[in-house]
Amino acid sequence: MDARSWSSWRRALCCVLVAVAGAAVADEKPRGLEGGEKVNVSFNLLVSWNEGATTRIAGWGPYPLRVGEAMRALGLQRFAFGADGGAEGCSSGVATLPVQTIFDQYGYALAWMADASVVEASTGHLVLSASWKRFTRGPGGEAVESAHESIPRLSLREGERALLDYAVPPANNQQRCARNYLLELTAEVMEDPVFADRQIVYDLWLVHETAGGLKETAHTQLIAGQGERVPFAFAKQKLAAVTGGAGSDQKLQVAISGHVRGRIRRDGPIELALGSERALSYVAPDGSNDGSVADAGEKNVRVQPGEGIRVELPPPSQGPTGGDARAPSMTRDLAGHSFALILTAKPVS
Amino acid sequence: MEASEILSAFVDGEAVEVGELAAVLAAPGARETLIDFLRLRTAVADDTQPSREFVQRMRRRLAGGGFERTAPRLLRLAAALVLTTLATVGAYDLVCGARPPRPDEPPKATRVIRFQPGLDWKPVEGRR
Repeated sequence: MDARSWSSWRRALCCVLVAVAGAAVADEKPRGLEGGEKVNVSFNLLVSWNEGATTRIAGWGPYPLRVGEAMRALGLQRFAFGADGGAEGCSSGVATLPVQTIFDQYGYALAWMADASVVEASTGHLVLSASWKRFTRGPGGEAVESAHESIPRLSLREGERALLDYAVPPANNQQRCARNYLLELTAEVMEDPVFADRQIVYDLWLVHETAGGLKETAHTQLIAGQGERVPFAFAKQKLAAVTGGAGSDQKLQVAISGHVRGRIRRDGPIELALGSERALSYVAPDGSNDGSVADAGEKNVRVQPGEGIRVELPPPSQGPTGGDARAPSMTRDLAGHSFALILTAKPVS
Repeated sequence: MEASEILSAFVDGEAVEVGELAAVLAAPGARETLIDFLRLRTAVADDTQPSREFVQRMRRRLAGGGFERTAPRLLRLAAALVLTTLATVGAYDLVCGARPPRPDEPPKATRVIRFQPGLDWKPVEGRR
């Protein structure tokens, strides 16, 4: 057997082994919270002051909830209210008092009652249900329900927030403090105390391959705590911009960035949320550009420590899809180029 | 020197004491032993490969030493050891790729995951 056939045979056997291993772990997807993990859910009341910025003036939470638990059932439901020229001036608060009492005693202009529960939860992905009611102080001081909403499924990535309601103070208010009020919901995972102090090391490679056989790789290493989101960004690459036509000195700039978040599980694997973004822009020789067209996504997988996973970004023929006028030419210029991320994660011993 | 050694040396053309040779030849069975040695010598001279008859005769002559059984067993054990070692090294080479990747070279991926445009791969609105 000559060296070439030996090498081919070895490669083929390795491919079979990799395929078998891949099939064995193909169902390794995040399985949800475990151990002492819960979802910290918060409601916040934001205000945009008449002559100032938007700030958080009241809120309740974070309340740690398990999957299936609701604030109302645990007695954690509250009213958040905003004073707007009432007896308390420009103030706000949270109370368990009946809403009419709030309006009668303190002269507040707006109040919200809200409830939330956890439907699903895993690393990188949370599903909540939420409901809220808004009350406005009527002309005679009575509490009037002015709006309400019930959202059975609200999908959030960890750390994201959802704006639930927006309101302006009643027009009959004489001493208006704010231009508007916002009610928001936030959620994040509360770590299992067993792993709260653990760290994970991520090795991440960007692989750029061309139809002509060129292969370039870039490598970065990241260390983050259990459940901690850590961002990454690879050096921008400049490709020939054929679409610019003869004499064009523009380049197509490709910027790959993203984030990774991981959690060590009790039985050994690590749950990962790998987010990636590809931003494309045409740049002139002096570095100036006219902005970028970007696509992004996130994958959630369960891996063994040290196991390498390859996440391929969609080929140019399927994106960018943002509807930008430059998108078709960028797609043509990206033809023949593919980009992929290869990631391994291991607990820091 | 024993009788068989004197006869063997005589057949091989080596110098022997005439008196000792005469005494050996006078002993019972000496004639047959001498003829056997001559036949053996003829057989060795005619063919580089020992004949079946030669092998059987040598076994009879050397009976009791056990060498003919011990040597092949040792050889078989040694060969098995060598083959096992080679197979282990070969299997490791096949499964593990023989050498670790360079620091700037990504490891082999066990899984390939693709974003699905429109499903989990979407435009980022508002980027300029």
